[in-house]
Amino acid sequence: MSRIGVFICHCGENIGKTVDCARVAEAARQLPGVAYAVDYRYTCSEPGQAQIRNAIQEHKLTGVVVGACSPRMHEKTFRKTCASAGLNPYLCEIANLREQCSWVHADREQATRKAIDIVRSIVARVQRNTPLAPIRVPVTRRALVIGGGIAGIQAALDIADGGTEVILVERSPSLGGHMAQLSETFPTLDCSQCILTPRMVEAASHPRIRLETYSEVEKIEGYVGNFEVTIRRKARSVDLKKCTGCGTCWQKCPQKKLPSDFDEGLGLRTAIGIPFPQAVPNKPVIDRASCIKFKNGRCGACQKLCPTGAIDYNQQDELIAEKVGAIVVATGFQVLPKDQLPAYADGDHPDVLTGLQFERLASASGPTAGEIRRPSDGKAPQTVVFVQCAGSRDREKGRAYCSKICCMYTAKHAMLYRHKVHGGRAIVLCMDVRTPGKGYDEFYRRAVEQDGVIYLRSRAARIYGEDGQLIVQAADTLNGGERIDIKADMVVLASAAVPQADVRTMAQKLGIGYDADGWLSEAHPKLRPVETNTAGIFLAGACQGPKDIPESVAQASAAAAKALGLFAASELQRDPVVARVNRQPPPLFSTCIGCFTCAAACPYKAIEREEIRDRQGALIKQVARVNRSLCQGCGTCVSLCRNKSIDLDGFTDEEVFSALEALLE
Amino acid sequence: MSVLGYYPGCSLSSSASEYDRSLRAVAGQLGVELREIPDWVCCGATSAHAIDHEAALCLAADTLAKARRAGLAEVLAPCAMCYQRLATAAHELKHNPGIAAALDEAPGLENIKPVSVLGWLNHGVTDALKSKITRPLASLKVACYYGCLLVRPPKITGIQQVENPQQMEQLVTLLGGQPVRWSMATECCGASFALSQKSTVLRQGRRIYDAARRAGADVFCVACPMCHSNLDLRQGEMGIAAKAQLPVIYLTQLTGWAMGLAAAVLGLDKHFVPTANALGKEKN
Repeated sequence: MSRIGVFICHCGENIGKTVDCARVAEAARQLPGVAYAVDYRYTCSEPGQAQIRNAIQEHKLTGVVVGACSPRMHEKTFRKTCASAGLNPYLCEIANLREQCSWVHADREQATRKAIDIVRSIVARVQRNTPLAPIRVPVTRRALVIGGGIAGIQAALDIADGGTEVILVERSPSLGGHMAQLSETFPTLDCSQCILTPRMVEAASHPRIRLETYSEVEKIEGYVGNFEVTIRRKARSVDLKKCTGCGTCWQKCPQKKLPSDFDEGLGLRTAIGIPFPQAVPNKPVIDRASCIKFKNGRCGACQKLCPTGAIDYNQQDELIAEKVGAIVVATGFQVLPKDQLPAYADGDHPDVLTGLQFERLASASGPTAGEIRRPSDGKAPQTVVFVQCAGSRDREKGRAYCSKICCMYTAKHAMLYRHKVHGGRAIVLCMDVRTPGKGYDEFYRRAVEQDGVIYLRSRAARIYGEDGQLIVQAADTLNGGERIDIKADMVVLASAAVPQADVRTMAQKLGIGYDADGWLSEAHPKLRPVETNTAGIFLAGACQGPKDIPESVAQASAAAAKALGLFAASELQRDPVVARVNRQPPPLFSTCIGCFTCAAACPYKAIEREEIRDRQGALIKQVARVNRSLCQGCGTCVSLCRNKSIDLDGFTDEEVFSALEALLE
Repeated sequence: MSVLGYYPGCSLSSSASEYDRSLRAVAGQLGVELREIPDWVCCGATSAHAIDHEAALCLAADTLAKARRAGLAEVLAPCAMCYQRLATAAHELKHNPGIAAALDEAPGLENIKPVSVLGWLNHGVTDALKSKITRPLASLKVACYYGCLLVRPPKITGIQQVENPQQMEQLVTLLGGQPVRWSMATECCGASFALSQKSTVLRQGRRIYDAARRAGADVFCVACPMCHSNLDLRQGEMGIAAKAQLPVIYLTQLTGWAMGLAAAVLGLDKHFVPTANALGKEKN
């Protein structure tokens, strides 16, 4: 006869306000098999847990049911409590009385009755539970970092400094990400490249970091501690071992007039080349789509002139397989393209710039060597209007969220413009100015007070070109909504930060979540901000949501700490919720008939073939066997098995059906 | 001959009669019978929707119900305001159960589909239209003027690029004209202030005119009687010399002209700003 203990938690008012917990405990006491039942204000507190421990010993409990919050919150807590009192942790189950009862109901009487039903169901279930032992798995001590921007670089450096090997994969030809494109950084106005390039060099020369630039993650299999990654090394058409980065090829390349991605289309580049002078590695890539040699077979100048014979037009993409134990995703963001905002000069006016384009214009390494000249005619603009929230905080036409970094970078842009064009007028149109951050509000005040930037509380309704200028239509909302039409020479949009275009494909490859906007999802918005819901995969930087540099770096270090924590253990423990093919005494051996429908359906390739042989080695039958390391406990095989030969430990048919039957009583 | 429900609304029965005439002529050429909804009522555009949301919806819903009784599944509403009111009613009936519950005839009414002239010409009859073009617009430079309501609001019209719509441009191109790139295509003409604050209407109109002129347009193309009257009627008051004034032509008139219909049939002689010079000779 089972001796079940039932512990009903009030969760303060969370459950107690809607559910009569004392009545639930009283009802539980009447259930067959229940030896003890009690209600308590906070069962997760130390005295609450002591109550469970004491009851296990005093009443010799064979199972525990805690009526409390979702098992996602405290199942681990209570199972540990039980284990510390000598009860197998898998004999403890949670009855979810908060998320599935008190929070979603208002009527106390009905909620209490439902709570009693839930408890009765879980009590029936726990009587069928069997003791289980956690699965131990080995750990591959090696990390993969996806994305070579500042977040990826920082995560890779921290993990490598911690003593673990890192593979850093970047899809563009160089490390650096968006930070390499920025001119100066707020709130200190130090040059972005000057602080970034030492980190890039450090990452490239670190003995424990292996760079894979111009490469993309193709496929990911496996699980925490044991991921198997396939990386596609795209054909650079340049032999990295032979190339010395001398630059002869890109100086001589005749295809010189291609718009530079790195300069956001404001500058030109050659068909072979490095994206920017400080690129790491300092070795070129041929853009095959625009190279004359690849288009019509002529040219070949780079190959003829290369002093080391490094140009290889026949290079192919290479697929390399790697084993890693943890993955840091640092795939970054992009800015909202102009054409998404047709109200602003139809989204294609050359003198309406995205925030990132202005960074290139203001950058010493940019297309104008840092001089502010407008793209259409190269003149220094005398009036520049900066439009904040271009696409952000706009449910109708853009994104509902605040892009967070724009208030600060707009203040910086306006300041840089005033420093570079003396006598120029800088007007910022903003809904409000958000400057939470160390030294941030001081920086914004400096823009207003020292640099004379004019802030108007307004939102640009429409921008259009007229007689070589841009007319910005707005209303001054602090002055009775007076209509203002500003004639500007250039407009800079505080373009919304948006997720990478292919983030969903990436997330699906990795098996991690993303939100409606496309930002990658953390496991808990407050308490697990760098973990994903997939064990062993962590997030760093703006792929999780708009972030400035200090925040991206901080999150990258946090992700690195999480990865190092994982590597610190000699082996990992996993919940033993895995499928099992039954075994019977000979001559049956198993009810499995060896149809292997399960093998075809298993998404994790966890079903193996087992051959049962007699003592002479003759084959008796083939049956399915579950690889406990690979199985993720999804239960697909269980539902497909024709003669119910597979069951899921922790969720056996018997356990689940007894819970259901109890509900239907 | 296919049949399409037709809701002329008040304007097309009076001040915009040339819109009505040209539309009927074009439909006839395209083999579409416009069947006027029996006993249609006001769409609720003017005062009603500003005063009583529900009453305004009921007016439009009443017309939809009459269309259904007449066995018409689609209702062509050429006036941009009428279209917007009918489309709003259909949208509200679908998404706002409270409104639907208040109307006796509501169930299923949301399936009666209001159609704009732009949508009809662009999606419904485009192929037929292509084969009927006998007098292409010969590089006529056209400022396509949508005004405020033809494509807005996006959740009701289903047109996403409301700031930079291109449907009218596509049609004008099909007719052989050259749409100009200009900045005021979806600007408000000031219609609501036509009586109460004429200065606003004149200022708006002048800005729209200036932008079209700068872009090199020969004519305006419109699909809304309010836009039409504000631009056609008041160019003199805006201080524009007679010689510099731009003709304001309904989309259906341009279409009919490209199909070779006579100016009188299309009501092109009814405008304040003469259209003859811009469109050229009737027989060529």
